[in-house]
Amino acid sequence: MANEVRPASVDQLVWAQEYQQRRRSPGLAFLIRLVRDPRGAAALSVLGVLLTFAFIIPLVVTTSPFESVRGQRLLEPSPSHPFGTDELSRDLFIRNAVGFRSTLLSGLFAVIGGWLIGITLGYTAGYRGGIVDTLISRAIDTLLAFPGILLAVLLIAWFGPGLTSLSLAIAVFNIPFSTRLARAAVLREVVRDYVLAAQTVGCTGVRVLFRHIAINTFGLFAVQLPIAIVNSILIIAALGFLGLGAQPPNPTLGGLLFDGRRFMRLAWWYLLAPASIVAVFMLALNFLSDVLSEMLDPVRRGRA
Amino acid sequence: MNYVLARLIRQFIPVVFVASILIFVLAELLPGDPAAIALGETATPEAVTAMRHEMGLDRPIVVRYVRWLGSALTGDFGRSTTGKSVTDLVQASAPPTLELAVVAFTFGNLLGVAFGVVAGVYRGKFPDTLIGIAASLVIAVPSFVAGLLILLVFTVWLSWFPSAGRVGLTENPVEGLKYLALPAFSLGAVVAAVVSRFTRQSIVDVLTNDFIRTARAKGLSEHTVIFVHALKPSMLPVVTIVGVQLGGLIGGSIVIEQVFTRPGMGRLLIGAVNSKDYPTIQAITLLLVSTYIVFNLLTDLLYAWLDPRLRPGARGRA
Repeated sequence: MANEVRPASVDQLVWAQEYQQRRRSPGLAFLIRLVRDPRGAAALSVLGVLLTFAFIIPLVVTTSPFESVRGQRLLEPSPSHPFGTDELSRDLFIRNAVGFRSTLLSGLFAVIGGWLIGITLGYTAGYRGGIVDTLISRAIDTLLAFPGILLAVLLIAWFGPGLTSLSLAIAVFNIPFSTRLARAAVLREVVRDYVLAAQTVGCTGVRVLFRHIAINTFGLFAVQLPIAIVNSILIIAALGFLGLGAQPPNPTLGGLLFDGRRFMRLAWWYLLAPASIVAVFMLALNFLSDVLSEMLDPVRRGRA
Repeated sequence: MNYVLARLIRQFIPVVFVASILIFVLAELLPGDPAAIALGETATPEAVTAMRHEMGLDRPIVVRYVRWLGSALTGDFGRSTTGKSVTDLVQASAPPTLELAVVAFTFGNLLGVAFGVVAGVYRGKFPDTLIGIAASLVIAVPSFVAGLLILLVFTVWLSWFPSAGRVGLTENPVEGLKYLALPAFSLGAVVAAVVSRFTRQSIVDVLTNDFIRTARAKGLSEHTVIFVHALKPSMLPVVTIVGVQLGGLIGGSIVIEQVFTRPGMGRLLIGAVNSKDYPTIQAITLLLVSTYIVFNLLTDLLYAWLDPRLRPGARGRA
């Protein structure tokens, strides 16, 4: 009979599943959909250009970001100096590229450091409960009482301005949110059977947390971490602009904004370049995140 | 009233208390002896000991903390390393910041509600799309970067506004506004963008209600329906983000004052950080943190007032 449905063998089922997976992984399929969306493609290409600027240009261009050439002070943009030169006759193109890279990297590392501390604190608070939980939670409440970048400014006041204290301040700045997130995640997971099973076979608390619960809560952090990194990059740029970041002569985006502001009447390009980089970077990221959340949310996808 | 008191005792006071300890201890842990710094490098050890006694530094840290907090509560924050009274410095820098925050807040909320209502009423049509795009742009670009670009365009290229300084709004309103316009716009635009999103969504939700259909069925003009019937209930979610906004305004004004070289608490703070003027840092931080916590508390109380379900003793609350 033509319409007879024959029971498939296990081998056949596995083969069919593998075939489908090989054909297109969900991640790849998603990426293709993202690139086919004109807005997604636009956001990705802008980000691509910016990241190339930050990470490839410093490797390719041989100009030193510290080299001053006599008589080339505050030159307007030209083919040899696409972004002009600064008050010490240094090439601003390479300084912006290196500064952007250093800001991105310090954001990345500071956030990861802060999150490692925060996640450990949150896990401990959620898993141990009782007085430990109360102490950690109240400490986090106190940190949250400092509005916006005030906490970071206060910490830099304590450590003294510089790249190390800036990174430390950003790490601390990231602790409250990551702690809360991790604590909530543990509280949700700790009642699950697999945790009980792990405890029953005699796993220590540390092992239960970092081998079992950590793996099951990873997805949550993967979503929030990029947002935290972007926010922290902004705070780093703002603090650099306040003169509290890396000290000269090392270029950072914030430092370039600070110097550009000082010389804006003499050299508009000095301020325009780093300000535009931050603005375009943030626009592209926000745009990408809008497109992504629309694609991931079937409710919004259907709505006008 | 009991609820207000309970929140005050259980949340506000402990958090301010712990924050004040943190602010005090951070400065105390610093290397360097304030007495020796005050006297300079040529001071004899005896003079330093005498100065330490005079400044109260030879007492236990707990005693010093209690004295510091006690005098802070009476409005005395000690002397800045510049020799001036910290209270005087803070008092002189507060009006410009307050001015900026109040104007940015008012401007942002009025504009945000207006745009939000227009977007909500014209949902899915051209004005809605336009306002939506504008709001996304404003939210994406951080206010201090937008401020720098605005500064470059309007003061350097067009020379329409002064690029630095401040004139008191109460002394000379016209001149004052000239100095205030760009910083207040940079700060307020973000508020406007966020508020317009909330208002739009809220208006869209409220307009689906039966009482709106009734109002329309009565033959009321669309104008009356929106401004008399729909606007008030749709303000509830908007009011609830006021606390978050104020936190943003406090942090934002620190940076914006630096962008527009406007004297104020932000500039005083950054100057103090750069010159390691700890009494001033402590005073400003304590003030900003307390203000922030007070506004968060007020927002919480506002929630409870607007939504009786959140009050203690209400059904369904643990």
